[in-house]
Amino acid sequence: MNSSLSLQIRNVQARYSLAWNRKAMVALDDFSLDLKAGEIFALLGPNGSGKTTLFKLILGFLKPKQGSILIQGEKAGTRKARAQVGYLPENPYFPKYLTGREILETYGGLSGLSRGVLKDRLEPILELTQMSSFAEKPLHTYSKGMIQRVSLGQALIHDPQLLLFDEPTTGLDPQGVDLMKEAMKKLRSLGKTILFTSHLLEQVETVADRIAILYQGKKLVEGSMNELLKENDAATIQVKGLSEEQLSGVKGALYDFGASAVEVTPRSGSLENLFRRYTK
Amino acid sequence: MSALYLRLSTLTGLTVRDLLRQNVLYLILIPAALTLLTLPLFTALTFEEQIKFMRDFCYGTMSIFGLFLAIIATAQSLSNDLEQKTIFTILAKPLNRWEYLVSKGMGIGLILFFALTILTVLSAGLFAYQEKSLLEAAIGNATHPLSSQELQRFSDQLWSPALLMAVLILYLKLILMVGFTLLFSTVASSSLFTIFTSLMIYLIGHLQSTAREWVMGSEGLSVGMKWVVGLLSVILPDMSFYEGAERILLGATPGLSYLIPPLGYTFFNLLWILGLSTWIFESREFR
Repeated sequence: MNSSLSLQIRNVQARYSLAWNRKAMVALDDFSLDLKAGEIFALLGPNGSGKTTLFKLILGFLKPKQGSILIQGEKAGTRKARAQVGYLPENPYFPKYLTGREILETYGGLSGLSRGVLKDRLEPILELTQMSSFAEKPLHTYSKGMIQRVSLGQALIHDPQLLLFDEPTTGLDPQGVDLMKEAMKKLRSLGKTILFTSHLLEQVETVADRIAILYQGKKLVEGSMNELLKENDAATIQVKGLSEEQLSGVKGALYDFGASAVEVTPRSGSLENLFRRYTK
Repeated sequence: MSALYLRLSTLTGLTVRDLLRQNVLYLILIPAALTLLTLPLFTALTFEEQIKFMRDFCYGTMSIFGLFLAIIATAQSLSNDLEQKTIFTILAKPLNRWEYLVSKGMGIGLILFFALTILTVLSAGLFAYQEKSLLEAAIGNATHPLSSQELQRFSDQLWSPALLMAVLILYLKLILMVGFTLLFSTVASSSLFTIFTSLMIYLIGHLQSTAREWVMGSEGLSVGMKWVVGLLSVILPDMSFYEGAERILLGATPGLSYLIPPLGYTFFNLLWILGLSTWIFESREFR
């Protein structure tokens, strides 16, 4: 195990056995991934591609049929490993009669945190999630965005190194999306590792350092945003000081036309196009 | 405070708060209280019969409704966590699965204690009311007046502290059923299955000692078969360990010998039930 890795997944396979002795369905096949501290990694893929299955394997809710998963060097599913993981589910459910603060205290207690430690942890989390204004109100008065912030808070309460966010921005208004993205960037700056899934590709593009695309349980592509979005057979030419007429013949000899500066950079496509190309 | 204590106490507290807000507690406790309140309607009995009937009636009500509460609350507690998917956020925390099961059991145990306490206090209130009514009727009865010794004897029977021991033995029996129901919950996908199986086990538990004695005593049975029956009798509950409560109701004077067997039996069974439940729950996958 490389000590700088927050998460190390090696050749993992997950299968769901089906009723009546039908052939087992492979939910994830020969999947490997390394995540370093302080990076944001996005998992993309259509519904049923294996994203949530991977989260459940990391948390120990499912057991891999083959391969291994290590979190900070600890085998996935063990208590020590889970102490290093914070989980934000897609549709979080909490008791509606509790307040936001009580939810954080309860999940802190479930993590074995004493009152003293909890007291120190609560204020920074309330600030990061911008929960302070409604933390004393019961959950049944909360909007979807507020519940998502509480869910983010409970994921962070035991100060884990690895954060798993399942569709963290789905159903949020633009302000909620911005808050979530800012929180993710702040957490990255604190050295936390974030693995998240999303269908909202524009949002992924603005926060992820690296991505992988899953399709039918297989990883089709993985890499940094810059590498993957670079299109080798195309380039963007930026010129300065030319008129509209001069631009029409610029391809062959830009300098011959007397341009004062010519900058040629690789042209980037959009993440959406990349995703569609691999999953069509 | 240790981290283990904090984890256990937090989840126990959450279980108690959940149950206090669920209808199941009140749907069982209110009918139980209403049943007890019908006690003054049963008046066509002699003075002595009346006292025995009051004790049996209150204990029976506690026993039946307590059983429903123990089984239904336990079956729903785990299935609710699965249906509402709270189990994913709870078990994602650094909490052992045996801690989850123990906390659930302790939370339901506290609720049962609370429910039995309420029913005991209500029964005591009814005893006081009935005692007053009966004494007034007896004093006014010119044909069969009661002596002061008789009155004292009846009063002693009605207010015997041994009745509290009977309730304590009932509590231990219900805790055992919480354990069995938790065990079935770890394998079941529906709470209906868990409730039905637990009720069956309860019935089997009451028939076990008679059936075992009959099988072991029959000469036609092979040694192998007797071993199987012997093994089953260890796994299945034997409710005869809790018969001390019925003996107390019949007027026996209890000592520690009434409490130690049910206490030891409950403890022993809870240990293996917890071990087996944990083993099953550890290997259970949550999709």
